[in-house]
Amino acid sequence: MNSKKIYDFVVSIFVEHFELEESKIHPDATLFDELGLDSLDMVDIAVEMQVRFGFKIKRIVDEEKLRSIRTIKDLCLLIEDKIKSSKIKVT
Amino acid sequence: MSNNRVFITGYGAVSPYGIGAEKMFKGLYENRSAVVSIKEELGDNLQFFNCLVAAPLHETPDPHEVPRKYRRNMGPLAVLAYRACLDALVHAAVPEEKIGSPEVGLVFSSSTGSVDSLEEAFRVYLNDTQRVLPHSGSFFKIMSHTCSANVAHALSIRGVNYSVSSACASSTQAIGIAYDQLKNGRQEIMICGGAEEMHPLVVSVFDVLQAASWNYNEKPTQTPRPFDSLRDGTVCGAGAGALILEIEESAYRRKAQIFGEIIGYFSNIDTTSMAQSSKESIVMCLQGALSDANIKSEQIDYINAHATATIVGDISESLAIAEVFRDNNVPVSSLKGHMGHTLAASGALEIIASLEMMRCGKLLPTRNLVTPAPEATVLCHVPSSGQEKKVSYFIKNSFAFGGINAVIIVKKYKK
Repeated sequence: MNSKKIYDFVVSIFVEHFELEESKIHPDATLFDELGLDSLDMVDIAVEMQVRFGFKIKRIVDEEKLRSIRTIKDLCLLIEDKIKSSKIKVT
Repeated sequence: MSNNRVFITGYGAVSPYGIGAEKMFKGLYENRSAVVSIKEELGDNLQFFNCLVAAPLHETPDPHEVPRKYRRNMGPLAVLAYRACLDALVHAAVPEEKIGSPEVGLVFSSSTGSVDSLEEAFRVYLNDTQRVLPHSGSFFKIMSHTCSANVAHALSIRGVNYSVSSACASSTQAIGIAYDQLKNGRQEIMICGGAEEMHPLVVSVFDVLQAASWNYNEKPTQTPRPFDSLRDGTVCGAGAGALILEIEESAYRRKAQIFGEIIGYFSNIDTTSMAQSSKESIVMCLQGALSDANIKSEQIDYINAHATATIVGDISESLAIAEVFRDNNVPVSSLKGHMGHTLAASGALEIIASLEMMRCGKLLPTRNLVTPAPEATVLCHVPSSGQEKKVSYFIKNSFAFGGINAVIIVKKYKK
């Protein structure tokens, strides 16, 4: 799965689940300050990642990574990294 | 210890007649039935049900009225509760800055958490056992204090917060607990009531226990029939009712409109049966409320009965009322024949309807009561056309599975 597809997936989550306007979403948008998300929304992002890509968010290692995410770009990179490391073939 | 007077300064209702107390009053005074066939709604589950009628909501609050931050943790149940509480606060004209103060608390009730959300969670779980819940808000929709917690968060109500869950006595107990909080000086204003969402699982509980109406599936508006000789069980309904209770000092300070005064409350449990309350336990509860109110039974002008039209339940209540009120000829009616049994919401909705009866001096009859059952002939039923009556005091009865009894006494406001 290429970076563009991952980005589109992330945008779709933010539009559908968090009811954000697509125009407000860009790679450098900060999740908490700019887009108004909170820790519960991060849990839902993790759930959606699990549903879409089939990998599990492991306690401690991944949760720490999730907590360190600040922007949309950070989130896309984490997903890309997880796809690579879990060797899951995602289309 | 304080002994504050407790006034009712506002209310909000979502009933099977629609959103808003005025729609409920209109439906009741037009003597319309809110009971309909639910064959289509049951779909594939139809074969499992004997009772094919219910009083669902004909108008549902739009969840999008609630900001997403709060809505994501709310199932349909909490949205109902939110709307009733919001309407009650607006009706009472409680200033926004007051709502967020620590002197304002909330006691809200429901039979369970959101059954609809519980079903959704199980659908995900059974389909994919690797996932326990569909999303972060799932538990907040399912938990038994979903209404009290969610409404408090969404409306910033930061005082005491309790959740009551006692099935059909839920909102009467919630109002009673709120009354105690105010009477004892713990809070200045309390929002209280109950909500119930319609779900086949709830209907099935009454169906399995043979407490639901089966004989009027083709004639939905003719059931339930409280106190009637042809009654065959109750009909489940949905809704939410909320009251604003306020201590005298606070109500006078802000020149609030006062709709009534709660002067008595009592609750007990009958441990002889899980399914129904005995006459003796109801007598004890009625006497406890009269004692709390410090009035005599002959002062009561109207009794809004629990009377759900179950075969056994109506008998116990009839005999208990007859024993406590003897020859007082106090008019009695039940509103279940109009809008079904809204379970956890019923106490609050029926108190709101009784406040309207007290205001306009016209008692509502028991819809579908044609020929009183032999045990119910001991009561003085409100005639089917209604009854003009000046009401200074009324009683609201609520009884629930588990043997829970709750009685509230309301007095017409006098300075």
